[in-house]
Amino acid sequence: MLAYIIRRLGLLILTLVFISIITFLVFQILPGDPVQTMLGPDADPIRIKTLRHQLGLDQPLYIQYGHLIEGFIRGDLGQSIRFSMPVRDLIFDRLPLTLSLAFMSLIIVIFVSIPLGVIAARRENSWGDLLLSIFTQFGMAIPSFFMGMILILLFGSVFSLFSPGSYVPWSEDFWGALGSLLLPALTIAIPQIAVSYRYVRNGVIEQGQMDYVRTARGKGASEWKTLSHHILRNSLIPVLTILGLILAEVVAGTIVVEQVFSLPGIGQLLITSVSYRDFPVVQGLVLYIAFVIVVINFLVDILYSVLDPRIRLK
Amino acid sequence: MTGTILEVSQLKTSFFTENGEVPAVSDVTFRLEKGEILGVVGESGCGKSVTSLSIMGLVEQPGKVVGGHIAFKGEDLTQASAKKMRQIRGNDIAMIYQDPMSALNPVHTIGAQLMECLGLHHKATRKSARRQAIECLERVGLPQAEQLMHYYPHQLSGGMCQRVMIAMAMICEPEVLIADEPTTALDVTIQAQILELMKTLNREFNTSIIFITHDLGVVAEICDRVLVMYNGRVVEQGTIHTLFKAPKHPYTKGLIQSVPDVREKKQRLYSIPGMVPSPGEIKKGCPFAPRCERALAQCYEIEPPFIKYENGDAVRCLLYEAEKKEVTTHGRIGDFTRSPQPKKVF
Amino acid sequence: MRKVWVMSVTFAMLILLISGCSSNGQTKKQGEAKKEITVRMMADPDYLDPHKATASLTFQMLLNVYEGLMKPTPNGGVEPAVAESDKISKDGLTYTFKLRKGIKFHDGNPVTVDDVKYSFDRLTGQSGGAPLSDLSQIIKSVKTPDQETIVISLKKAYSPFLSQLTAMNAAILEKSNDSKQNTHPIGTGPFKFVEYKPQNKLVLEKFADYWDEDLPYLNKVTFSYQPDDDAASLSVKSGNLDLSGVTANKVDEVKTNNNIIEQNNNAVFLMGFNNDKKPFNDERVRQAISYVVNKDDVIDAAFSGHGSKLGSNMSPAMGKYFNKDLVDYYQPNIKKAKALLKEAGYGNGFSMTITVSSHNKVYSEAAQVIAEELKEVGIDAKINVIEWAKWLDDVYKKKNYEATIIDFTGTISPFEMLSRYQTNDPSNMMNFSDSQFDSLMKQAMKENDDDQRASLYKQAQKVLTEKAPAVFICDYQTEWALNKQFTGFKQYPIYYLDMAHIKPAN
Ligand SMILES: Nc1ncnc2c1ncn2[C@@H]1O[C@H](COP(=O)(O)OP(=O)(O)O)[C@@H](O)[C@H]1O
Ligand SMILES: [Mg+2]
Repeated sequence: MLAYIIRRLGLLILTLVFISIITFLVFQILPGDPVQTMLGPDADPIRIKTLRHQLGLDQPLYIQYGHLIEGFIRGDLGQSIRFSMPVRDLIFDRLPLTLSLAFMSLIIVIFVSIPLGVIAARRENSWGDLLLSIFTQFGMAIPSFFMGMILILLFGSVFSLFSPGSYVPWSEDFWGALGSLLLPALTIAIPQIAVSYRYVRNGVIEQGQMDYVRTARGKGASEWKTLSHHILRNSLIPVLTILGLILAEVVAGTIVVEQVFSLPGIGQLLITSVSYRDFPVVQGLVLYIAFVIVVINFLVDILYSVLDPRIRLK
Repeated sequence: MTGTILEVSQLKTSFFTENGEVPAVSDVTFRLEKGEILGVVGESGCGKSVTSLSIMGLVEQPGKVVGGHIAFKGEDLTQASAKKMRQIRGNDIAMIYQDPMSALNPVHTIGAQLMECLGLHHKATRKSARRQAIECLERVGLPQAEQLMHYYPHQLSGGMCQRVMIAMAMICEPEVLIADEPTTALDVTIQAQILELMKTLNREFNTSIIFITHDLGVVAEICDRVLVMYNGRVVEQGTIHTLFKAPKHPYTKGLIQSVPDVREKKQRLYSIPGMVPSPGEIKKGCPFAPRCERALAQCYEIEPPFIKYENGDAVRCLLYEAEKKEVTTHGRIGDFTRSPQPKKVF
Repeated sequence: MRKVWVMSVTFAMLILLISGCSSNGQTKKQGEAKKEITVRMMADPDYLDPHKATASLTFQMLLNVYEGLMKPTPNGGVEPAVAESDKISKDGLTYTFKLRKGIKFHDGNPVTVDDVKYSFDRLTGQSGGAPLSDLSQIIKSVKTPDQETIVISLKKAYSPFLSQLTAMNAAILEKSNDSKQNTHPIGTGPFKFVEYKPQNKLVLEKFADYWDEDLPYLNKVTFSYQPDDDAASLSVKSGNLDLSGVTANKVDEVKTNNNIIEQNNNAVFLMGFNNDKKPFNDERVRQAISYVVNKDDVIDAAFSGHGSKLGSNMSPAMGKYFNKDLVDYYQPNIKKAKALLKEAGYGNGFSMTITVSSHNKVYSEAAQVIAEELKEVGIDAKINVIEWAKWLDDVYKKKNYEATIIDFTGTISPFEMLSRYQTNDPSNMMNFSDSQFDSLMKQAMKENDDDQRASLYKQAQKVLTEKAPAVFICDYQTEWALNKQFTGFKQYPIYYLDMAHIKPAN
């Protein structure tokens, strides 16, 4: 177990270094200057020159990168060019939103796809099952920005239940935050529900035919007990395999969906920072996302070994 | 300790598939006496498993018991509610299966799976359930039962798994144990140990056992009485003694002939010619007729009746119709007493 | 099985409950007394430090926080703010200001002449740092002979100087706040800064000690980030935004609970040529294209018809400086265009590329209309849509383009609006060079008489129209939706949402 953790940590550091260098190289190729982009064509050229100098942007890129890495080692993510704020503050400010969005999406995926999958499996080839298959097929095919727009239109314009951009933090208004995150979370969740649902359904069908299910029934276990205690746990093992993928999709989904719903989260910050060539922020965010994904995979691995005793971490 | 505990009469179980009705079991009648070991033999596909699942009420879609009765201590299980069946399963009638590895849930510990049974039928405390489970594991001859409780199935060998399965089936001390080819997947030495174990349990708890196998050799070793099944029907029934000494049905004779005899060292084994017909394939006459060396012209026309003898033996063959003493499907089958032959387990 | 159903139903009810709750939240908001206003913020401010900031959207908000010696007026002029009065010497080289009595910064400290000097020194780089503003090329010195007088001497006469003294160009800041201007803004305006969360909100609250005791009316102003037009109009409709620009097609939807105010932006939307590049170095080619482009079609396509046609680089919002005779100088005339092209040697047309930025779809919409029209004279125009940052780099800075579509936002100074067409101006992105235009601008800079100046600017505009460095298309309008619970919206020819005069209706 210890060896496993050490190997994982090594892998994490390697990944981060690699990703940091890639980001740096991409920024070298990208045309555009952060200060000019921020101030636009009406800007006073003298002001632009001065600000570039103050930010150290007139230095060669490798020196700028060197400063950044030096900062990282000291635990300092640097200063945003676009927002003139510490990158760490910017990220931590948005973290609660993005994390709760991702978490909510995940909860929705789990709480919708598992019951749906089980119901469909129990009524295999019935017409509810068929209908669900068609729906989920759609759910997977619709791109999330489009799904988001449809939901905004439906709940915002038609039912007037929701107003985009009215996000309030959890600390200020719990129900308000929940309300403003529900649709975005749903947008992220729907395609993933479709994916997960299929795995649950197929898993339950497949596991339902296993010998141990007959054994359980033979002991006198009720249908519910057989399902919940025996079939479900086994069917969730393949679901867990894709859970890592789903989580990665959810994290990626927040980027698009925050944009569509104008939510001030990590994703929106990332897109803005790229378009403003705000290298320190992009660097920080990319590292953060890589870190999250690696940690998620680590957690999935652990969960996997908890759920399936045949698997032991090596 | 005698008396009938289970009585199956004219059981018919069919599967309703895309190709129409498949009568997996079309006419099975037998009695199980208290404390006896009843062997059920027949080639693969003749309906042995479906018969036992029918008794357990575990025939799955698209299968269904479509006819006959299963009387357990006077109650007709074909009419029993789902709840009643749940109470009977595991508690009064338990079953063990051919492949012990896949019959255990891979994600639960041996202990949890053993104790589940107690939890379902007896409101036992966790502590006493644990103690009982450990005792049970010890009784089936598993070493270090305490540790074993925390093991997962994949950590055990096939033989150990089958012992666990037996322990699991026995934990609620059922009156009837159905063992569906419990030794087929195991190698010969383990097989012998398991047979010994079953004999012992039968003796100690007076549990009635339906022992299903396609191996007549095994039957000879542990059974008191035997049913021979062919194509969803019981074709012959009798005590070990009469069946092996004087088999009546040509199919039974064929089966006995094809048992390899170690002493004679024959070059080639005898095997019954022809293919096993699938259920429902033969619509008219005796389903064995096409493979039967002694088939008469009318065997292809008339479905043979189930001829019962006073000593409890029975046969389903036209060859014996002339000498029949009694032709009735509901006739009384003579009492059967078996000679006690104490033996040490392991 | 039953439990699965129960679970699903519970979940469905939870969703309903939550959506119910969120709509409750909104109705509660609407019931409150309206002393607080929520205004749409389309984009984040570039800097909160006004000396560093450039973006017009920044000043749209921060002009409520900062003031210069002068402040803008709705008719395009300036009036005293931090200064109480001003006096200009005859030669136009010396400006003398009297400091307003009793004026305070938001932290309660009085504004001193030292603070004023500090502010100018910071802008011009006198206090050590590099200059932040091109005022450094105009201002010779800033002196404070006594505790209430500021004397600014110029290097040469510069007639638009007073209009350069608002907070947009020369905000007065507190000296003791030097290192924190960007994180803890302190000014003298009617509202003080409370907090700023990037891509979320900028909050201001009433400054009780504001020198104009009648102002402001509101207690709190929240600028709420909403970059998306459609989302913004939904928020306006639901009452989550009280003041917001809405796209023309959404006006009807929000009309019921909002007053619609139409405003000229004082912007110039144009298709500029690279006047150095063949074939656009030939003025006949530029004129020909000006005859081809139908400005009404472009206004319809890009602004749903909400724009005023322009003939030169000046909007009617500039009042008396605007040369209105030029608007219809080029009427669509294919015959004339063809003749001009033939004269220039392009009788069979040519192919060109219009490079536009993707950050706003109006540019590509306009480009499509124009490209279609150019086909009539045999010009094959390709449209190249690129990212904003790349546009600024390739087109604006490196001038590596043939034609582009962009808009310049207005200032209150007509000189500044025209200055980028001077031969040596650093922001001359179109590489335009005309000696007559240059000399008219030089004259205007020295001229002290406002009417004379206006006439010079008009002549300069005419030169631009004739030489056609660009096709001047329009000044587009903004449709402001203001919640009917408020009144007092004031229009300025610059990006300035004057929140001080907004008050609750009745
Ligand atoms: N699920 C099923 N669907 C259709 N037919 C089945 C099914 N299960 C069993 N059968 C039929 O029942 C017959 C008897 O099967 P089974 O009782 O398993 O035989 P065995 O005697 O080998 O245990 C088989 O020949 C098969 O055709
Ligand atoms: Mg079988």
